[in-house]
Amino acid sequence: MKKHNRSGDVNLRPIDKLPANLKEIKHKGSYITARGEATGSRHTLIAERVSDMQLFTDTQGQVFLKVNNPIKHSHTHDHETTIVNPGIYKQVQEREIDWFLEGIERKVID
Amino acid sequence: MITKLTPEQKKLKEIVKNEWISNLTAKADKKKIKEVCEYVYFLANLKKPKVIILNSPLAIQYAANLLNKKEVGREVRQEVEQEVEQEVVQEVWQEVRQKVGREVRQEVEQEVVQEVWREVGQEVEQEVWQEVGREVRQEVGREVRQEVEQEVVQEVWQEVEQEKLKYYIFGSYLSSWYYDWYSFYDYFHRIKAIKNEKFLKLKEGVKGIFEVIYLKGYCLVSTCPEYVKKKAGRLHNEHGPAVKFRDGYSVYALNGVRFPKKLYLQVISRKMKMEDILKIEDIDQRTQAMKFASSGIRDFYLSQKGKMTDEVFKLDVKGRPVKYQLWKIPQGKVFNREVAFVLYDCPSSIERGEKQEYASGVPVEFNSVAEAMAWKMSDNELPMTVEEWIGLTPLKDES
Repeated sequence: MKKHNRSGDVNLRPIDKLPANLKEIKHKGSYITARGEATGSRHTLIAERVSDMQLFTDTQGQVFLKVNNPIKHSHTHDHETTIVNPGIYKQVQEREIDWFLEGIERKVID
Repeated sequence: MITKLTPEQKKLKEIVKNEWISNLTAKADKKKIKEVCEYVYFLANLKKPKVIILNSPLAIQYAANLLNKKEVGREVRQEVEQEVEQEVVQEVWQEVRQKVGREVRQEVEQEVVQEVWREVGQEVEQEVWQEVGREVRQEVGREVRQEVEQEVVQEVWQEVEQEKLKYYIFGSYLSSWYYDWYSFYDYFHRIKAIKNEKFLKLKEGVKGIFEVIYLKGYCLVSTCPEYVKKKAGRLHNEHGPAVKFRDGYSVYALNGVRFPKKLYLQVISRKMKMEDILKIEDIDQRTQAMKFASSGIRDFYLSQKGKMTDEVFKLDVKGRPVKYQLWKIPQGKVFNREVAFVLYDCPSSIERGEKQEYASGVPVEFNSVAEAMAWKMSDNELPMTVEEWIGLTPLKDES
């Protein structure tokens, strides 16, 4: 069974196939999936070899990845490193409701 | 060829590591700093620079902007202006200062970095190289670069951006970012595996330098902080700045999470009400602030007549319980409608032997923790099922 991967508020949702018309993101073996605006913390994907992961983005800036060999999902401070197994994923930022702001749904910020 | 370290050489690893970590707060020797700056410009075949030594990385960003005729503000302005004006009073202000960081980096790499790398490669067996890399270089890198330098640089970058000034990338080699590199080759120098005069000159000069900006004709140097306070290896001080520079520039942090000064002071006063803490937009800052609330989050929910409607325990990879709760709070004094929150343990904090809880607002229609958590981790295009969330193991699939 394909497994979801979560590092703090950054989620990698498994999907069956990559959408069409994606643009490849070049990388050198690591990729910052999210950077905390206020705190500067970083969630990072780390591949042993460049070919272990392929990164893509669509026209809306959504990020997709194809993991060919297991890679690491790490964080600067708070979250332990987990392993992302081979598969195709879409990066999804966690969401929450701000009940102090008229119940507005928003992406989790760290 | 060194194939194995002697007992004395093994002890030296700890000594060298600690020395380079403590260099992070070393006092500046202005004469040595000036000499080493001139030396790297010499290596890069650049004209001897005017060396301006200031007491924080923010100050040298301001100085770089002043040299390019930008107005700067804030608390260290006066000192920066005085220093810069003294140095450039005779200069014509028309020339835009060019960055020369690339030339410096390339030349230092060619002249020194590659040389010492080759020397160690010739004299030291790979296993010894790896051992020193792991126990000295990586440790110094974690303590100095990862836990302090990068955090301060992020803070400086944000301040410069907020003031709509130009951000100058800090330069290579003459900075605390490279202390791990220095520690590694310093160790091999001290066990007499290498003897490289150029490296020694850089090593002696870099102590006390936190950051540098290389400009054409000017080398701007920030000295190291006066102090750095940490808890469990992360920036932390509940009674003031976690990092304080000698001109007063400070970085505030709790358990590695940086805060703007105003919010930090509110949080550590321990007088913040939970409803105000829950309004903090950043979830990491919110979580840290919850630990300093005048009352606990459950007390706050209960004070609003809230009820816990579901509770789930998962077991992490080591069999430790990870708690998740769903709370519902009716319309009342604080909320003008019924609201719901999930309150859950951070599994990574359990691994570190700490206790950290996150609180997040979720839709009120959910009756179970699993529904709420699955919603939280989904987007509209890719909803997560309740079964999927239940199947995730803390510290294996989520952290």
